[in-house]
Amino acid sequence: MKSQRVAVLILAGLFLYLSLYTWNLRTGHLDALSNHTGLEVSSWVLRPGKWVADRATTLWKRYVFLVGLQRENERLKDEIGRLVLENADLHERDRTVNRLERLLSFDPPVHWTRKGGRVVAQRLGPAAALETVLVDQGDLSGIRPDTPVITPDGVVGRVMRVGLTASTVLLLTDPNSAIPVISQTTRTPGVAFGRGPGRDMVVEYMNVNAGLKAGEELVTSGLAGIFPKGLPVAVISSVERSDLSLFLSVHATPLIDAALLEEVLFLARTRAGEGH
Amino acid sequence: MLGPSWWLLYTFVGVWAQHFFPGMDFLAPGLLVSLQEERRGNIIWLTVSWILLQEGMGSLFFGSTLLWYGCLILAFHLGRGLFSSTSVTLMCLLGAFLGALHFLFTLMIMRLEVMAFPFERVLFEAVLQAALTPILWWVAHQLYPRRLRSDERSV
Repeated sequence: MKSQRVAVLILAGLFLYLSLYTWNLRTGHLDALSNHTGLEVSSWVLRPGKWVADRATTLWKRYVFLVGLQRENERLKDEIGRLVLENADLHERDRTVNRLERLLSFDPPVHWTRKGGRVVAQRLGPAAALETVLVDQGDLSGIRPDTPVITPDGVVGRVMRVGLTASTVLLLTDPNSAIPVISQTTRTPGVAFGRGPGRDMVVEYMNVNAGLKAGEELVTSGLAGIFPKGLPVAVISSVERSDLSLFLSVHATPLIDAALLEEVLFLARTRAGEGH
Repeated sequence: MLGPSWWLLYTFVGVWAQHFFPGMDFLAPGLLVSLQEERRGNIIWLTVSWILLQEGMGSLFFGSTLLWYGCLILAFHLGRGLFSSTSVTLMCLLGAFLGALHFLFTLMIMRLEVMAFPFERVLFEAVLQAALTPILWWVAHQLYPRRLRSDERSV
């Protein structure tokens, strides 16, 4: 009798789960709820830690510098140490300023505007099956699903989930990412698919008669309506021809290294560009 | 106040641990501790909060964590009939169960959503989850405040 009750409970639970799952697929209400709670909370949990980690790293670096300095002449050592620290600090600032300057000097395509954001984390939790990064800009900054995300080096991916002040970006290296591209010299169109972190992308549907060569750059073709045309995506690393296929077998190296991402740019259509 | 503070701290540490170990669930061992030590009401709010947190952090449609924690709770209750609820053997079995579920559910949900499945990565995460769950449970159980434990409360 008890086992029957357990079986009925399991079946009822499964039915309830499937109903919830399909209802959410149609309406997206539960996704929105988790985006505005879980995504937000996780980003707020990580942000102060990032700040503390930055400070702690700076302090540790200073400590290491100081331990070495105490063995030498105190006055000179202090002076040198101060200058070395200042120099290291200026170098770090210089690099940051350079990065930010590159971001700010990036000229968005016509009818598109840019907005900067900082990467807070990479994949988080057991449900993070896709290659994603968490960025500190969300709904309140005007970020919407499918917003293109780039750096001055190239395309990073597109926004997948949006919370109030944070969003999840699907990276171009994920196998579920497909970006319509066109080769810069021979103007051969194709679709670039990710194959996982640290691996080259595979570019499908490129005409077998195209004169593609390794080293040619691939840019967005703008065909899917998500990315503006002409953003750099990857560089062709190998081209193979087959007698059996109508298409070339093309591999390409992404222009960005997702593991090293610190700041990104979101591209949004201006009102004038929405009709295009 | 000690109980909520402890669980808040645990959640904070868990999220950070997940930041350093992508794809792993560091909250599930805490759920096992709560099932062993907490009152039903506390278990419910902890489970709901963690489901929302994990789903929000994740990149799939809502549902995989709901199923994952639901199965863990069910397996814990079934396992309690055979082992002591704080037995290490039960925790090792639940760890292996969680590892297998991680692989199966990710595969199932990604197939349902017509997505490419990163086989090697998810397999690695599943093995790591199976190996780490009993250890994480043991650490969390040891750190759980003595005066909050169910046997202490009953005394």
